[in-house]
Amino acid sequence: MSEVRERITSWKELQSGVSLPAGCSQRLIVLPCFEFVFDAGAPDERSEGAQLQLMASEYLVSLPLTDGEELGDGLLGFTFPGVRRGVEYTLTLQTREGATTLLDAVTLDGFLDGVGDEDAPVSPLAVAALPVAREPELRDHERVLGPQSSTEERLAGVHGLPAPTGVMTA
Amino acid sequence: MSAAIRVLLRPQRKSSGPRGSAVLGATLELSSFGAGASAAEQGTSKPASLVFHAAYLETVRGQEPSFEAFATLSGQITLRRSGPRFVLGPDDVIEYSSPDPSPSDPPPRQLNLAFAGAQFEVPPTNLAVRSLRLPPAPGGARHAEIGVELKIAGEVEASVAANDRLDVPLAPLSFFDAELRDENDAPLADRELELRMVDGSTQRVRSDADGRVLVNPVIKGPCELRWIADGGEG
Repeated sequence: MSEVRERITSWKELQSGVSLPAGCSQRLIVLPCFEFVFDAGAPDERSEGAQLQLMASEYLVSLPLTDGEELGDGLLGFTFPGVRRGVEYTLTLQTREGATTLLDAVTLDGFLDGVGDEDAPVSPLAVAALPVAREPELRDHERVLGPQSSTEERLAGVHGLPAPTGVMTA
Repeated sequence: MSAAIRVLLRPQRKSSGPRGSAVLGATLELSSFGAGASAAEQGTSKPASLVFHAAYLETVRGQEPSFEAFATLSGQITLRRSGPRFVLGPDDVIEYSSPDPSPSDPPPRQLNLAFAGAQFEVPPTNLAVRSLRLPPAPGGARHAEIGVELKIAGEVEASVAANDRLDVPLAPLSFFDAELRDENDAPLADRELELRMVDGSTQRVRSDADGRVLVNPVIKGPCELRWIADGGEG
């Protein structure tokens, strides 16, 4: 297994659709999305139980290879939405036995225009923690589009936070 | 002399769940089989207006609706061999008896208006006449009955009683309102999106210059919003 090819895309969340309640006014912050392609080799050559780990300063997300989208030629596609600028994301490969290999370390600044904004009120952690009001109380409620992918659920589980109810149907 | 013209209201009905239906609007049609003679004339355009009336009810049965006029749509009417033709211009609007609601208030209840192509000539660019804002409902109201009166040259051609009425359950009526912004708080303006309502029906929408997407009415319940085209920078 080798080579991580990463790229940043935006607005991935709305490509697949998010579920939102009627009867309220809401502000949706559509977050950039980190996509990367991992060359995992042929399926029968992969280490059983191996998983990728995406790490930032305040959280860790595990991505089993089985969650990747087979793109052919041994390539697996992964998506990690809800990233923020100015944060370094470290990608490692962990075997079932626990051995960890650093694959890459990336920041969004290299892929998106502009300088990282530490004051930006968005991070995957914040996405998971945001309460979701219901009508009629919800008025001008600021809400962040949070994915409900398996990645997000794991993220919520790591921190003991409820999964966001801004449903994403992948 | 032709028979009087009546107004038909065909409900735009959708399923709102296992036990109910939602009426999101009506398609207006004109019929030439009313009682009496018509004031419309063959080959001559005359000023005509559709005066919308509303009555709110707490129960469907046992309560007589008390209609009040709340909106007027004016145009020109003429008779052709194929029947009546009601013509609206590109700048015609619906005039309401109550003032416009404040932008800071929640969007008012609205209904979709559609016009039967055989009897109405409405410029496709005129979107203002395709939504009918309902008057504020009193507390406890569960149904609205919408009636319409047709006037030609100032005279009543067909009264509310002579025309169709639209029964609108209020509970399933809602709106979808979202302001789309990027991670830098800049509005995502002029983006083409698709809104899927709880019954599975879809509607194409476009965010305005402020990134706002307002769809009114929708069926109460979760709506799914997604990009249609390129989806941004991906």
